[in-house]
Amino acid sequence: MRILTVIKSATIVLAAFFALQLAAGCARKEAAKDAAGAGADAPRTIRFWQFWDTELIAPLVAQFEAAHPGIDVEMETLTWASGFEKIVVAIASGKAPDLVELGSTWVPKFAAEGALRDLTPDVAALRDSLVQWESGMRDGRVFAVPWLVGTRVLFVNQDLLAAAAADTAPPATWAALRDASRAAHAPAAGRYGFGMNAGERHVLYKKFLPFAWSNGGDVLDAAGRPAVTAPAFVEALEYYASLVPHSLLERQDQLDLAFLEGRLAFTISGGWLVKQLGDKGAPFRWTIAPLPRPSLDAPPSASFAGAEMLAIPATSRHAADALALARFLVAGERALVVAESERSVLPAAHDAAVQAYCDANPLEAVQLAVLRTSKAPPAHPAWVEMQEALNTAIEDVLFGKAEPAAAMQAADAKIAAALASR
Amino acid sequence: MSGGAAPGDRAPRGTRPPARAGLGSGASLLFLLPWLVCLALFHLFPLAHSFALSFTDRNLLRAGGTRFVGLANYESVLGDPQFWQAMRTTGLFVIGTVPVTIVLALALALFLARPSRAPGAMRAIVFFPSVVSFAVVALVFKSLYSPSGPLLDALASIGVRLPTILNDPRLALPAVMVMDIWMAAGYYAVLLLAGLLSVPGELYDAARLDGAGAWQTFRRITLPGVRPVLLFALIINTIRSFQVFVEIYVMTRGGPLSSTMTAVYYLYEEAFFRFEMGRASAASYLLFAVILAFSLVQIARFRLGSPLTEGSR
Repeated sequence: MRILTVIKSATIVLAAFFALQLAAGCARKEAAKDAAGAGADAPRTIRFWQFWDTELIAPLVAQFEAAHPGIDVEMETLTWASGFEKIVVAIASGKAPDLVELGSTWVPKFAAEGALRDLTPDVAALRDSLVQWESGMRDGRVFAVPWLVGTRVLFVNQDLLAAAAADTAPPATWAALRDASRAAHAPAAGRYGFGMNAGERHVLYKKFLPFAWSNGGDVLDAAGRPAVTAPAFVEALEYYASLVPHSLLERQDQLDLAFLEGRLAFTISGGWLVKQLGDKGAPFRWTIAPLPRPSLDAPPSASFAGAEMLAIPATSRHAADALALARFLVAGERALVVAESERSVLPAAHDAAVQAYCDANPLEAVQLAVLRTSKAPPAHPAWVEMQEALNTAIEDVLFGKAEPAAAMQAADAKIAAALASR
Repeated sequence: MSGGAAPGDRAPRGTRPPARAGLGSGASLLFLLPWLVCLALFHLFPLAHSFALSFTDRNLLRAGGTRFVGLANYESVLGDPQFWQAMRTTGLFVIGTVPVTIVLALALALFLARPSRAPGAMRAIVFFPSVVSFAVVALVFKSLYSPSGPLLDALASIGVRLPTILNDPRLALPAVMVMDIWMAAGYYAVLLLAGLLSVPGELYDAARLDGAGAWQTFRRITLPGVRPVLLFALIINTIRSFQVFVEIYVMTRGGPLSSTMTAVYYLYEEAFFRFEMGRASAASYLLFAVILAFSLVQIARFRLGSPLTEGSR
C-alpha cells in the first residue's frame, strides 16, 4: 500500500516537474520568436565566448557595440581549464554561442562533424590580411578566422652554457644543439642540457614534428597517405632520440619551471615563457632563437604554429553579426591589444601596426620571423587519432622501448587505420 | 510490515502516538521529496541515460543522427588493447592502495582510540587530509614530486639521484598511490575509530580477567567488533580506488607511456577528447560490472563467520 502511494506521489511530482520544464521551454521559444520578429529596430543580441581576460576584451567589444548600434554583444569569458568542455556541451545541446574562440587543433574536428558554419564566401576579402588560415580549413573551405597566433622557439640559458664552457650563441644546427646540450648536461649538479617533453599525451607531436618538418618529412604525403616511415621522418626521430642522454625528460610545465629556475640550457617553448621570464626578472642571461636545422645548407627550420581562431557554430542565427564582430577583433591594431598584454601570442593580422610592434620588440621579432616558416599539423578530422599514434611512437622511442624505424612502422599502421575510418 | 501495520505495539512507549501515526506516508514523503527529486534527476536519470547511450553511436559534436548500434560499443571497447591496459593499471592501483590504506587506517584508529596517547587534536590532524579537495592535494603532491621539488632534493642528499618521479613509467603510478593512501587513510581511520569505540568495554575487561593476550584480544574482540565498519571502509575504498581519476587528471594525465592510464581516465578521454559518448558509456558500464562483482565478493566474504555482527542485529 505504502509503496504504491510513494510511487504514485513520486510520479505526480516528476510529471509536474517535467510539465513545468515543458512550459518554461515553450515560454522561452515564444520569447525567442518575439525577439526574432521584432524587426531591425530592436538590438540583436549575439553571444560571444572567449578565453582572454575580460578586462582586455570587454573594451574592444564595447568599441564594437558603439560602432554597430544594432548589435548587443553578450560576452562570456571561459577558462582554459574547463572552457573547451563547455563549448562541446553547448554545441551538443544546441545552445552554442554565435561566435566562439577555438584552438586551431580543434577546428578540423568540429568542422568535420558539421558543427561550424562554412565561412568561405564571407571571408574572401580577409584572406590576404591574415596568416595561418590552414588550421581553420577543411577540404578547401574556411571554418574559422585566425585571430591570434603563436609558435615555438628555442630558449637558451646563456649563463649556463658559459659556465659549461660551451658556445653561448644559439645553436644553428642539430649537431650544435646536441654538442652544447652534452656540454651543459650535469644531472648530478641539478643542471640539464635539453628540455625534452615526455610523459604527456597530446603534446609531444608539437615538439617533435618541427624536427621532422625541418628535415623535409611530414605526417601525410601530398596524396594524403601516411608518410611517417619515410627516411626524412625516421632520421629526424633518430636525431631527436640522440638528445635523450643529454636531456631532462619532463612535462611542459616542469620544463618551463626548470628553465625559469636556470637549471636548463635549452628548451622549446612558446611565448608564455617569454612573458614569465620577463615578469620574474630571470637572474641569468637568456635569449630565444629559431629552432636549429639539420645542417647549415638546409632551408630555415619549420616550427609548430598554433592559432586561436574565431568560429561561428552552425546553429547561430546571427551569423552576419557574429562575422562582423570577428572581422572587428582580428584587425591588427585590436589583436595587438591582446598580444601586448599577454605577450604569449601575436596577431594573425600582418599589417603595418603589427610590423611596427615587432620592430620595437626584438623578442617578438624573433617569434614573428619563426612564424613565417612555421607549419601546422594536417587539418584532418582524424588528427586526434593520428597524433595519438605519433605520441605513442615517439614516447616509446624516448623511453627506449622501441627503435625509431619500428616505432614509426607501428605509427604508420595506426595512422592508416585512422585515415581509413574516415 | 512494521510501523503502521502494528501501531498497538508501540503505543504505550511514546506519549504522542497519534501524532506519529498522523504524519503518515504523505508527510514523510514530503520531507523526503527534495532528496528524491535530486536522486531522480541527478543520479537515476543520468544512470539510465548513459546506459541507453552505451547502445548508440552518440557523438557530442555531431548534431542529431544518433543511431542504435546494439552491442557494437561494448565489442569495440573490449577489443581495444588500451582499455585492457587501463583495466590492468586500475587493478594495480586497487591492489596497491586498498590493503595498505585499510591496514594503515586500522593502525591509526587503534592508536587514536587511547585518549592518553592521542588527544583530540591528533584525531583532527589525521582526518585533515580528507577535508581538503582532491585537486588541491594532487597539486601539492605534484610540486612535491617535481624535479625542483623537495622530495628529489631530499633523496639526492642521501645519495639517491632520480631525475624525475612522475615522468618515470615505473614510479609514476606508485607515486600517485602514495598520495591516495596518504589522503584516504585518515578518513577511514576516523570511521574505524568510531567502530572501535562502540565495542563494549566489558568485553575487554572480561578478556583481561580470562588472561587473554594483546593479540588474542585484538583478534577475538577488536576485529569482530569493527567488522561492519571495516567492511564498509573496504567496500567504499575499493570502489573509490576503481574510480581513481582526479589525481591522474591533475598529476599525470595518463602518462608516461600510459603507465597511469586508469579506467576512468580512459573513458574520460573517450568522452571529452574524442566525444564518443556511446563508447565512453559502454566502458563505464563495463567498469561498473567489475566494481559490482568485487563489492559482492567482499560482502559475501566478510558476512561469513562474523558472530558479533550477526548477534548484534
